[in-house]
Amino acid sequence: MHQSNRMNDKRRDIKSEIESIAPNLESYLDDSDLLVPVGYFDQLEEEVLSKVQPASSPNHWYKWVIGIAAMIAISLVGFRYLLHEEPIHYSFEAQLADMNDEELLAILEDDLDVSGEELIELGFAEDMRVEIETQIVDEVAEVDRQYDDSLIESEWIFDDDLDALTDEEWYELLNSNLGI
Amino acid sequence: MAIIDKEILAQFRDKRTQQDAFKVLVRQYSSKIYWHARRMLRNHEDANDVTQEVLVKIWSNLLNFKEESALSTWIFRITTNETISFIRKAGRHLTVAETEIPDTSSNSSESIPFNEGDTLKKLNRAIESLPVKQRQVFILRYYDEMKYEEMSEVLSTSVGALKASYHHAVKKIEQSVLND
Repeated sequence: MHQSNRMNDKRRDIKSEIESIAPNLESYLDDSDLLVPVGYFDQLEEEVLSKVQPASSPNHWYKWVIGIAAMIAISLVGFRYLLHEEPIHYSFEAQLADMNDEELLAILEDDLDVSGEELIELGFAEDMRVEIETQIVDEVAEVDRQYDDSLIESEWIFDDDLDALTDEEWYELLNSNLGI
Repeated sequence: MAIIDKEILAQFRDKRTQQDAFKVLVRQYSSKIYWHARRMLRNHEDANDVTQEVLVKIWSNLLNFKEESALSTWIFRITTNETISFIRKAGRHLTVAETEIPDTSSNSSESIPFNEGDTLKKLNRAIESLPVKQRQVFILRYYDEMKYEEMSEVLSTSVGALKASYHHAVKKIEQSVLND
């Protein structure tokens, strides 16, 4: 900072330099009358320090609380994920919504003591009609096949030449078919 | 580099002493920064804004200071850049704005009543009539008592160009003051 009452070598050099350029100017260049508010530099120091201060301790405390809360939340989510925990539906409607048709039919059969076919006839589980009907057709076809097999087996017996049977074969045939 | 500057830098790099080191820096340099800005802008409020901005920038960037120049040179580079930036942002050739400031003290250590005399008004007008770069060179040399070599580092301009610029500035001020 310029101090008008201090004359050092540097100042002397500058004075002589300006006198060599403009001999009559020096007296006009004194600006020591420029003013600043009293205590300005002390106030400036405080203002600047307040701008550059790191966050005060209450803010640290607040940040710690947020940090810990975030860690707990993340831990809970992670723990739940690791356990593959499914969300639990407590309402009956919510549980029904999660069931497929087969499960619904099983419950209705148990509760109402009626068959699935009867429920379909009554209009429940319309989507299952085709599946159940196919199942019924398959069951009937299986019964028919077994019946045909038995007929074939029977035909084989009666196609034999009865005359060719020996006495022992007759006895065995009558014993197995008539129990005599 | 001055011993005190080295101590400031060493202490600033240590988190435990950073605040104290910065306080020393503010006490050491705030007056120089302010008076450079004040003489460039000719207005206390604007000079105060620039000074605070410079000090905050010093705080933010001091850890990146590589000591390739003196600390004072680095600080003056920030100061001159901020001042020029302020003038450009203001978009005006700053006019004489020295109005009465209640409760003031001068740039010397003694407090004196505010009375901006004719001489100071003439000087203000003369300095304001200079192109910004010439004004900068004149203030750095005459009031901040900076050597041309250091000024060359601050303004990234050759010593020869700075001497020529200073010569032109002094001649213009002389002409303005004597003819006013």
